[in-house]
Amino acid sequence: MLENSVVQISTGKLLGVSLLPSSILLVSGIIIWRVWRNKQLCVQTETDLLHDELRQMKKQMADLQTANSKTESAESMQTVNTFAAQQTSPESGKSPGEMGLFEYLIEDNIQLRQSTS
Amino acid sequence: MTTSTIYHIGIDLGTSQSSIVTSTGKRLSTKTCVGYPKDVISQKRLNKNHLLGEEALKNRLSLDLVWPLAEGVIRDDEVSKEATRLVLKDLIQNTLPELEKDDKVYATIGVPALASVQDKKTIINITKDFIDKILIVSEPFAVAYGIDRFDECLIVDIGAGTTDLCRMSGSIPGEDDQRSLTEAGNFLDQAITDAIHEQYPEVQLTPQIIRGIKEKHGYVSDNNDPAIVSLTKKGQPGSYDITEILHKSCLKLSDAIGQAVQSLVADFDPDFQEILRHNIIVAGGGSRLMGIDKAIEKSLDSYGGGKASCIQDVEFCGANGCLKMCQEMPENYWDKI
Repeated sequence: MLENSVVQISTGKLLGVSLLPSSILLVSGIIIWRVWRNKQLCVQTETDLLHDELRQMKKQMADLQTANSKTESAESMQTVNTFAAQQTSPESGKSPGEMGLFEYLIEDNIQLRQSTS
Repeated sequence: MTTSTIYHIGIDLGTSQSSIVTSTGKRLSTKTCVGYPKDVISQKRLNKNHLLGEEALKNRLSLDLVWPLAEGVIRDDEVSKEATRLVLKDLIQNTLPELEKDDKVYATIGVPALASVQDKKTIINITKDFIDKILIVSEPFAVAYGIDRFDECLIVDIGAGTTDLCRMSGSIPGEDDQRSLTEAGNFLDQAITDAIHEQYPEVQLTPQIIRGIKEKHGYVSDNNDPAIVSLTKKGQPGSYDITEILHKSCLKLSDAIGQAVQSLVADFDPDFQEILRHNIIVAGGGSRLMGIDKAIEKSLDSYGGGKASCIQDVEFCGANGCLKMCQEMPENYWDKI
């Protein structure tokens, strides 16, 4: 009986000694992996968000630059409008006031697409 | 949520050089050429199906070079059409990297003053898959538009393939107001090549060497420093004096332009001829030729004299005008095409 008890206790201690560090390592590993994975997910989410924001900003930048160019050319538009009022279209025969420069150009380009030559 | 953006671009599609200016403030200029690998070795070395612009020129020994435009218009063969498509697509991709699938590209492209309907239609057809709306306009008119010159003035746009002249008189220029000459940059290159070979028969020349000489020494004024260039003869380098050769060749170009200017002045309303003579604007790569403005003025001596000035932003003046037109075109007009 005594011998059995001694064997049981010794075996238990031996197992405990050898298993304990492994268990600690295993648990620590799992914890570290979960923390790392969570962090990765967070980083991924933040990257996606930042990417979306960057795209939006690029769009806004493009719109702003376009708007800016348009503002800069607003003054020259005045000249263009004055100029446009004097135009005639030999193709359409419309009166100068009706046509305007841009309409003339568009008309010219429509005719270009419609022509068969 | 996806938002669609409209990008406006102005393109000057030139025989030698093409330029683009975008509504996002980007600008780019490139040689209008495409190089295809000559064989499997060059294909392996370059690891690309084609190279464009300066990159193609740098690797020209391994490539079959295609210059798709001649006299300002796309050559009438499939290889040239495809090469032009690649050049235009590349210009847009490089200047609009932010372009996404849902975005739209509205473009205005400048073509020689008297380009044919077929030439213009070719441009529309080859750009179908990457330009949503396209407007084709006369190149010298685009230059005038870019600098707000609608009043009496004469635009002389000296390109590589053509020299385009456009008389502005406060209205849209008609065919009578425009001239398109083949005496342009490439014509001058050929004249210089022929003249050098005539005097120094065995000298080795390439289009690149000639272009370099022209850009560095080309002049039409009466006085200039001697043009001594280093050339090879059967592989042996030597110095050659080409001052006179260069002058005479350059005069062939300036004389042809002078005559065209004279004819546009001569058949203009006599009351406004003087104003026209004193408002000549020289644009395009050829305006870099030393003394070209003075030579044009000189051609008008017997007409009472004139005043010519070279435009500042030579490389992009056409593309700038195209972009301006493109941006100012009302949206509802774009819908019509």
